[in-house]
Amino acid sequence: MQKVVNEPTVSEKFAGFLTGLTPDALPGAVNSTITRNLIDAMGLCVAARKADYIAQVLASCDSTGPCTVIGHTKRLDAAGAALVNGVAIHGEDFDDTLEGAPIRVGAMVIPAVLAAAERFDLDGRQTHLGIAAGLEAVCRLNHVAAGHMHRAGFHPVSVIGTLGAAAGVSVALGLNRDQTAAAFGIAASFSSGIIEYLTDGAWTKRLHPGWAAQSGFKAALIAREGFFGPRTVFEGEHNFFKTFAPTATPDYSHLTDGLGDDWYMTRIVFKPYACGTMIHPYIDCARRLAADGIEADQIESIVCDTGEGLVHRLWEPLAAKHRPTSGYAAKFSMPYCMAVGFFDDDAGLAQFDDARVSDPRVLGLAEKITYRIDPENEYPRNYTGDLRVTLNSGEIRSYHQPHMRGGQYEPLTDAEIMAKFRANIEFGGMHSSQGDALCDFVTGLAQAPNLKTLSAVSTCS
Amino acid sequence: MTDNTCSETLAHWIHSLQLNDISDAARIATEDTVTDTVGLTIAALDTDYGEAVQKAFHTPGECTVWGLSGKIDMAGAAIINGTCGHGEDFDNTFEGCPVHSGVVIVPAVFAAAEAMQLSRRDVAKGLVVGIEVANRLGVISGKGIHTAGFHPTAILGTMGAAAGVAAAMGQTVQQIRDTLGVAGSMAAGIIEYLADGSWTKRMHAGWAAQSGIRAAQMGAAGFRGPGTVFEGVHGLYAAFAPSISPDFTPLTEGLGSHWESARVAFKPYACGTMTQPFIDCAVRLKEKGISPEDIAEITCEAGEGTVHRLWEPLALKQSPPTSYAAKFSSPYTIAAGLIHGGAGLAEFTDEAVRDPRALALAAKVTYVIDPDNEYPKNYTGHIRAKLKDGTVVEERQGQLRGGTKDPMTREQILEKARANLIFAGRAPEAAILLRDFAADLFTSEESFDAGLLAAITR
Repeated sequence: MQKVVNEPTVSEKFAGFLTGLTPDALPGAVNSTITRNLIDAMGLCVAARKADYIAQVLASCDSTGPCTVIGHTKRLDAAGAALVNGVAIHGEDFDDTLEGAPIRVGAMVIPAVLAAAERFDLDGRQTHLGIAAGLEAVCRLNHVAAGHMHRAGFHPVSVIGTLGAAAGVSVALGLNRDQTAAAFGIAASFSSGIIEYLTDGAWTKRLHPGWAAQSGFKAALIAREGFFGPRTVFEGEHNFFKTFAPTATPDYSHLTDGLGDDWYMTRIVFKPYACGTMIHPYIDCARRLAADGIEADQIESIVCDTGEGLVHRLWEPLAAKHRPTSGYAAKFSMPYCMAVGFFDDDAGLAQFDDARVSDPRVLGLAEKITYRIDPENEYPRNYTGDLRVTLNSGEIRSYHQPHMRGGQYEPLTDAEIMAKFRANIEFGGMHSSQGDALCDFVTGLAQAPNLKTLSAVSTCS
Repeated sequence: MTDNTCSETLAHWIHSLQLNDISDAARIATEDTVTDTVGLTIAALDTDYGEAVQKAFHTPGECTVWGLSGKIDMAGAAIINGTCGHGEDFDNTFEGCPVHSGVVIVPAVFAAAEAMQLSRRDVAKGLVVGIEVANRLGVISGKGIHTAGFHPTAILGTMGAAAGVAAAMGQTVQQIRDTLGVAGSMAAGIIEYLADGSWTKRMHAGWAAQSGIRAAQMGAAGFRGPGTVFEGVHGLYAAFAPSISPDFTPLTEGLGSHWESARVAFKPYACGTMTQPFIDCAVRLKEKGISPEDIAEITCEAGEGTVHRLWEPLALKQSPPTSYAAKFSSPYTIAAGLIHGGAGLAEFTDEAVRDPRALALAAKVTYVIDPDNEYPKNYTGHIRAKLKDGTVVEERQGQLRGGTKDPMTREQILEKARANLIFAGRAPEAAILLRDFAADLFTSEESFDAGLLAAITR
């Protein structure tokens, strides 16, 4: 009944690469991605610190310990801190994503590795290596069957994220190849996360990266003790991809080719706006319309050319998208996001406050915005924005944004990342000087002897 | 109520359920599940996998690993108790869908009760609700979850554990609904362990237990889960059992009058299910005074579908290479039954499966295919033993013992726990303590105290 596999399996080969990483092997682009991701993640944690769902997750954690919850004084055990920080990073859908095969990356990996580092008193070098391994694992694993997990009703953030967190913690803890491969095998049994939140806007989507972070952390701990996980987790008869992405033909080259040369994690992108990624180019267009001096009451209608794949999530049901019932629902409404971007010249966290989404002026403009499916639209290869604005005077104006800002064609500059960080620090009510200290901690992390100061710099007074 | 989602219907029932409303059959099955599960957990503490999970989770806390005196945190205790309880596949199951409820629900509810200082009656309600929900979900899924590559005990166990802990906590209807919704996002467990006999199957029970507790804590705190977690377009069954068109009436109808928790099945022997009726026949031969040395040959009529897993290759099955392989060998298990009068954990140690007396007898055991055998609709056993003096003795077992058609008696379940405790080097009298502890949950007004379970040390 049991096949003996003598050749190294896919998980063993991939684990061999990850556990062999050294600081010298990481190119500058990798190091800078890690720093940018950490800064962005820290800012998002602070920004979410007063959110109701964070209060609830925090209340549900009753095991105290040595690990920092960014922006809070309560310290938790590693699993608890990984959970809350993961929920906080992703809570407003303002965190990173991966171009080419969309998935959140930092929200699962960073909380798990930081918690492990604090719990086991690791140094900055191991922490940095762990984050590198975890981010790269998420990015590569998500390419193997891209798109197919959603189709099967699973959320890649949690399903893939559990493995990424396990990889990050394994490398940070210095596990060997076979232990790390076992961590993949064990983590695949912890991978969870269905997308039924789409039906009623339930908060489980927010929960997923945090749950993945704490599950991956525990998978690594179990593997470290010699617990026997399936070696053929990626290619066996009942493997990870077959169960969570049954319609896919897995492309394992993403786990074996170009390791150490082609760093997938350098294609992580950071979001300028606190809403659904594909909406961003449309907001850019709406802001330009306002910058051209057009007033809302001059506008008769706006018709947007859009990719068919976006319609069911971001445009329909159109009446509901015109009048989102909460700040969270508004993040996935094309008409609302464009309208609020038009009035506020931004779409940050303040634009998705429950109070803001009931502004009659914004809703009045949102109501004038509809769509038309453009069969030539490049989605999902590229995200574009197209507005055709008809004014009351009969004049017609067109706006086009050819790609997503923040993405590979136009990455956010370091200055823009810092501006977003500072805005998030302020939104969360943390003093700017403390934000600077948090930022200093992050930029010096790789050289830090330990993480003992993390708690002090990330606690709001 | 017609507009309610499945989870709302369940939540209303769970919220309003009183201990007095629980049927005697459900109560008895639950008490027996506690006795059986705790005994099995203690018996596996010293295994390699048991030691690995104990090393991985040792953060001090308020919860008991049964049979050990130190206290650890809630999640750790749930994982260790569940992993050890399921480790030998000797724990309770359910006919129609093999969801092992005891090793998920009991660790979850006990750990939650210790950490949250719940009462014994809260625990009793939580156990019945958890087993009831897990089993009802099993009725809906049949083979559907296995077919998709997922492990029913892991997936449905998470939902049952969440429901059980929510019930024990006395959650409101809204909280229970959210608990179930959140649990749907934590349900996990793939069956790739089949490829290499890796240990993740064992771990699934413990992981589901700790996930269920965490889901209940989040639901209690007001975290919103999807209301349509069971029946939604992207709900639990759409994701984990895509090959079936689920009928949800077994989940929502007859709540409080029909008890699936009363239908748990207990395994009399620590091995593969289909070999068990054959062991019954072997035990009866021993009871007739027949010893292995009297026997010239044994021929068994077997269903064709069982041959490739339990009979062939015959030479290998007559001399199994490992204790785990011995669990799936009809010749060895029959020999063990005839020699020892049973086939418990002690008959599946590395030493026991190398016993020359057992192997000599196993070498005399062969089979013929009976084309009229009812397998897989019914599991039967048969032995025709030809003795050296020429006498032929025949025994038949018409169905699996331990299931609904031929349940184990309470005394037999107690005896099983006693044997498991002896195997673990504990005093056999602890089985009586366990039985009384379980019964006390339903009658005492006191707060839950697992001190008695922690005291079952060597």
